[in-house]
Amino acid sequence: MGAVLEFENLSRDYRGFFGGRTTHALDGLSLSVEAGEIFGFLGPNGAGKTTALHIAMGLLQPTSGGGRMLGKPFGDAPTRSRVGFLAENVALYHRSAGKLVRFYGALNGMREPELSARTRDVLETVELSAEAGRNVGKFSRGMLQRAGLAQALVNDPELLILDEPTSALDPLGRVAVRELLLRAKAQGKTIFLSSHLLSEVELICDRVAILHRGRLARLGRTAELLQSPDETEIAARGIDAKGFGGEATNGVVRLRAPASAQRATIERVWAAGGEIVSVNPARRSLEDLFVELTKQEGSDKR
Amino acid sequence: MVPIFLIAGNYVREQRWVLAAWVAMAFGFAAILAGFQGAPSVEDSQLYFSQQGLYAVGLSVFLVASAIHNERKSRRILAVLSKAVRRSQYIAGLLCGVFLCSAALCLSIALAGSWIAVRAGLPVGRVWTAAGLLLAASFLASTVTMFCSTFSGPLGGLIFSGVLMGLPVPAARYLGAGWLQSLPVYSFSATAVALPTQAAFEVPWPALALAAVEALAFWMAASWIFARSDVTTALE
Repeated sequence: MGAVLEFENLSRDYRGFFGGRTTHALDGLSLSVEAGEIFGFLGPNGAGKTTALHIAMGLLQPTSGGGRMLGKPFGDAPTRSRVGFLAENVALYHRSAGKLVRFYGALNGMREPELSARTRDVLETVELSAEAGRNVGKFSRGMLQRAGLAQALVNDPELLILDEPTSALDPLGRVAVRELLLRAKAQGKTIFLSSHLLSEVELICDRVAILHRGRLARLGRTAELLQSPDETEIAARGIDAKGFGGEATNGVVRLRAPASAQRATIERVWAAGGEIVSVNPARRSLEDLFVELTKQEGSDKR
Repeated sequence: MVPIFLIAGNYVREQRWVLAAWVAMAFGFAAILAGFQGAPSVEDSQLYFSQQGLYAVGLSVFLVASAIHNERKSRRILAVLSKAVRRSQYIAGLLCGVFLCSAALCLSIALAGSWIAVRAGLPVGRVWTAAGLLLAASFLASTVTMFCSTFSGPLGGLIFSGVLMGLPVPAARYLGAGWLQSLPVYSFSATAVALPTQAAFEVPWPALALAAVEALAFWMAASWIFARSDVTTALE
């Protein structure tokens, strides 16, 4: 499968007025998103995630470098009819949700009767069918976010670019969006997802890129990134958790040991009269990795 | 063309209350002059057309000067420009929307002005010609202002476009009367407001043709600049 979205040595500086301080929002970002994957784009505030997304959508000009979206250079208007984009803090015109979604669909070149049918479908997908006639100006933030998702989905896009799609949603809404994204993936669509909700990203993303201060700090398959190659997690029964420095849950004590000390730890468990339940490579959470990387990059800078 | 009409229609919808207020003003002043007192004099009529002529051109300039800025500030521009819409289409859509607003106001001025003209014993046909000229002046003014607002804020857009549209006046004074038609916003407006009470008149077809070419050139220049502009950076 080919690349759907490619950033090639992309840089973007924000210059202050009258020769003020220049901020390097993006610094030589290169990465490629393959067709059919859910790609997580992470980074702390100010890392340059939104800048990269806006450059891809042609809303910002890069200082240097460039990229391609669905095989065309960034900013190509006809290509955007095959893309769905949801900006962070979505802002929409104040009109009824149904008319609004139709408006954005028509801007993407959709015509009747397909437009009406898709509008109905996406409003149902984001659970706004009952509110189709209500002005979005009177919507709550969560409902507005869902209307934003509807306008991004109305053209049945091949590529979905979502900037914090679940930021204003309650837990049920988040689950619904997660299911929606997984369904979209099953239909062969590609999803480029920028989010702060690391647990969400961990659950659904095939690959993850972590951006820090405009640079790519880490890129890889989610499962591989979360594996800790130098550590082993040992689950055992019949031992004292405190004595082994582990955590007990339902009678099972989980221990972490360096891979080099794996055998010795197992023998200690046996010697204490315990029983080994499982031995696996240790797995850290995306949050652990994220914190570790951003701290490490921060100290490297200093 | 469809995105242009969609953006234009949406723009008119967004500005409907502003437009309604200006239309109400056109009819309100006409009612004061022609309805609540005796037959209006030629001077009263002249006052009405001068005032409304200024408002018609002023409305288009003020709407255009802040059009892009407001869309960027509200961030609504993101959802529009993330669709299959070219920057030139976006600019054309906004200009088309402003043109529709101006057309609605000029139509109101023509209708209300006809009422005044009938009461004052002036030729009604002239009022409609004047409204047509005002619409041409408004459209040209809006393209000039749109061009200026693509590289400056609303205030800068107003200042730059004011200077640009005012240049033919000193040029005509020092270089020759023909220069007044070089960017005929002032020329059309001045002719339009005097027209209903004037004795003789000829439609300035060459100047209208020049205005059409200039409007096209300003739209193209505005599109070229806007296509190279960021739409999501801070607006301060």
